[in-house]
Formats: sequence, C-alpha cells, structure tokens
Amino acid sequence: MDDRKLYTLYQLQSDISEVLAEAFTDSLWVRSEVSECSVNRSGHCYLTLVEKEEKSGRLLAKCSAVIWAQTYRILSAHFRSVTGSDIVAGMNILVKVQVNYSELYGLSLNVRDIDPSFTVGNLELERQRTIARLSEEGMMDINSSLELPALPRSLAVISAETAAGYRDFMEHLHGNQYGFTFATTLFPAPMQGAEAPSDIIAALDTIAQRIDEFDAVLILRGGGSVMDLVCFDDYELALNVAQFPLPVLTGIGHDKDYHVIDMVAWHNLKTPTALADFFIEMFVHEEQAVAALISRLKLALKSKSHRELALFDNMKVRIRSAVSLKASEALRRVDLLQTRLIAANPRTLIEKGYLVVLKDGRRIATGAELVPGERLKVMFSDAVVECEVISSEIKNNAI
Amino acid sequence: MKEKMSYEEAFTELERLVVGIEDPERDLSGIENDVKRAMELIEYCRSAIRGEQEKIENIINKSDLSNENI
Repeated sequence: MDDRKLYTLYQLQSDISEVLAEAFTDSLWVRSEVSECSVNRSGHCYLTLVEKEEKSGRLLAKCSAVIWAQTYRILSAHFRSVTGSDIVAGMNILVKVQVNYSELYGLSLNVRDIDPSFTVGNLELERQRTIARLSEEGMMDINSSLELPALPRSLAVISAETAAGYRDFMEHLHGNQYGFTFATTLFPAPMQGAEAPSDIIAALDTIAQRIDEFDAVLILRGGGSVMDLVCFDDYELALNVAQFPLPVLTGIGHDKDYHVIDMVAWHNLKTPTALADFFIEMFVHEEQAVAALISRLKLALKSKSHRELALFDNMKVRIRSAVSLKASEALRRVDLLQTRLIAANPRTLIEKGYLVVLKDGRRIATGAELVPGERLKVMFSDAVVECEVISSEIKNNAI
Repeated sequence: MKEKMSYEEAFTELERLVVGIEDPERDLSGIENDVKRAMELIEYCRSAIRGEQEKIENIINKSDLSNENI
C-alpha cells in the first residue's frame, strides 16, 4: 500500500496545469457554439462553449471560457460593428484561445481574439441550408398559392406591442388618407432573440384557432441588426409560415436582403409602413376598378340614349317630310279648286256670252216656274237689264 | 340581393352586366333590368370597399353586448 505514490489534489492539478501549458504553448483558433454568456460587474465576459452533433443536436463537448474586461471592451466593439450584435447564446463563434488550467477553477479558455466574419458567414451558411431544405420540401410556394380576398379588411398582426414598427404600421394603416377602415388584432410576440421563433409560432397557432375571423396574417418588425433578425431565418418558423392556412405577409424592416420567412410568405415588403400601403393600395385599386365600370356603364347608357335621340330626330324629319308631302297635296287641291272656282265664276261665263238671270236678286238657273209679268234682271258684263216675262214654254231640252 | 354575396362575386357580376350593356346591339328598352341590377351591385361594391357592412355589423354586435350587460 505504501509504495503507492500519493498526490495531494493541488499537486495533481498543478501537474495537469504544467502538462497542458507545455502541450498548448501557443494560442489556437477554436470554433464552437455559445451556450451561455454573461458579463459581470467588472466587465469580464464568461462564456460556456459547446459543440453539438450536427444532426441530433446531442452535446459532444463543453468548456468554459473567459474574455477579460480589457480585451472584451475591444473585441465586443469590433464584433458588434461587424455583426450588429453582442455575443449571445446560440451563436457560432470563432475565437483565438489560450488553454488555461487553474488548480482552483479547472480548465478554462482564455479568449484573446474573435473573428466576427465567421459568425456572419456561419449564419449565411445556415440560412442557405435552411432555404435549400425548404425548397426541397416544396415549402416555397405553398402559402403564396392561397387566395387573398380582394378587400382584406380583418388583419391578424404579430408584432411586439411596443415596437416602433408596429406603431408606424397602425398609424399608417388606420390613418390612410382615403378613409378606408381596417380591423386589426394584435397577437404580441417578441421579435428578436432565441425565443422569438417559438413565440411567433405560438401566436400563429392562436390565430389558427380563430381563422374565420381573419383575411390575412401580418408579421411586423421595424428593422434591426443582422443578429436581431436571425430569428426570421429559423427553419421551424418558416415551416409554420409556409403551411399556415391564411396568407402570411411580412414587413420586416431591412433593405438588404430577404429572410427565409419572407421567401415562404405569401408576400413580403421591406417595412411595416410599406405593408400598410400594400393593403391601402388594394382598396384604392378596387375603388378605381368599380369607378371604371361606373363610367363605362354611364358611357354605354349615354351612347344608347343618344342613339334613341337620333332615332327620334330621324322620326321628326320623316314626320315633317310626311307633313310637307301632305301639305303640297293639299295645296294642289286648293289650286284645283281655285281653277274650278275661276271656271265657275259667273263673270267668266258672262264674258263668254252666257247670261246670268236674277229673280229678286237671286240667281236662277231654271225658268219653268216663271210666269208672265214677272220681272227679272239679266246681267251682262257691261250692263244690267231689267226684263219682263212675256211667256214661257216648258222644254225638256231647251238648249 | 343575394345573401352573403362576396365582393368578388358582386364585382364579377357587375363587370359582366356592364359588358352586356355596352353591347351596341342592345337598345335602352331591353336593358332596363340589367341597369337596375348594375346600380344595386355598384352600391354593394362601394359599401363593401368603404366597409359599411362591417360598420353596421359592429354597431349591431355592440348593441348585443350592451344588451347582455343589462
């Protein structure tokens, strides 16, 4: 028993420390995932780094690391300027570390440097993988094949309640200059951080239970850094958006490129305000379409009534010409009468040598009733002669 | 007017009627009913765009609620 070499704990630890110091003299670059990250009051940053198996997500390795305050101030500023974010849990990072073993605290990696472009590139890589997977699964065009009603008035909005983007959207939509009315219902969810995807999915589930009440779902966020918006590249969230039974429209404030949920959504716009405009424009479009039909209708009716008027005018012409035709006929008749009248005028007859005989001032045409002694007047053209009947003889054909 | 007609249905019917009315072969006397129906549809579409049905429904719903409260 006694020939066993006994170590004190301290001795063991210092031996390990020595061996490690010899084995890892230079600092080295390590890539890993941040599982925990906190900065203490002195400004030192304590990290828990992990590595997971890619497919199963099973933990393969775990180690603590520290960035001392002096280094952290410089590194975090640099990191933020490139990625737009602080180092947070869930992120993949590439760090230059010095292996350190302390008898009291065990193994720790002392971070000397960080390469933020790795984090950005890694996100992009992951994004591309997610896009490829969703395309392969046929998720890209599912939501966009749904039909959005011509007048989408009832809108379910997923946003952070206090977000500026949400406020802008509400002001823009409800304050539209045309006076269109919309009914919006907010389903609040945080729009950044590791919890965002599952919270947004939960909001979608709530909406799904009230599906008949809504025409469309809107996901709003008023902009942010690359890392803030990384939740919108989440595979599970994209899958839920793609398969949602109502059209999902996104207004996530960014102008550089798409997020994965923009690609699977029914439609995406650059900002919440642009999304509000999109809905207002739909109503403007419909109002214009109806107005166009109204003017076509008016025009059609007008041209028809013009045609009827033209027909009426034509009728007037025909009536007038018919009337004038009749009038000329009448005139001809008058002419004829006149001719006959002229022909019948006693003066004409007298001038021709016929005689007009008057009895008691009246013209008489027969003499059978005249008796001897009666007085008659005979009219010549130049004189009136008074005569007395001497005798009369009735004849059947006197002339 | 049909009950629960959608705006899309109303608009499609209106469009069809207008095309019919525009037909130069048809004269004023023959389209009287179509014009009347078109006018109804225009009113319907206009109020749908302006959300008047919803406004009325809201008022009804609110009054229902207030009755329940009483």
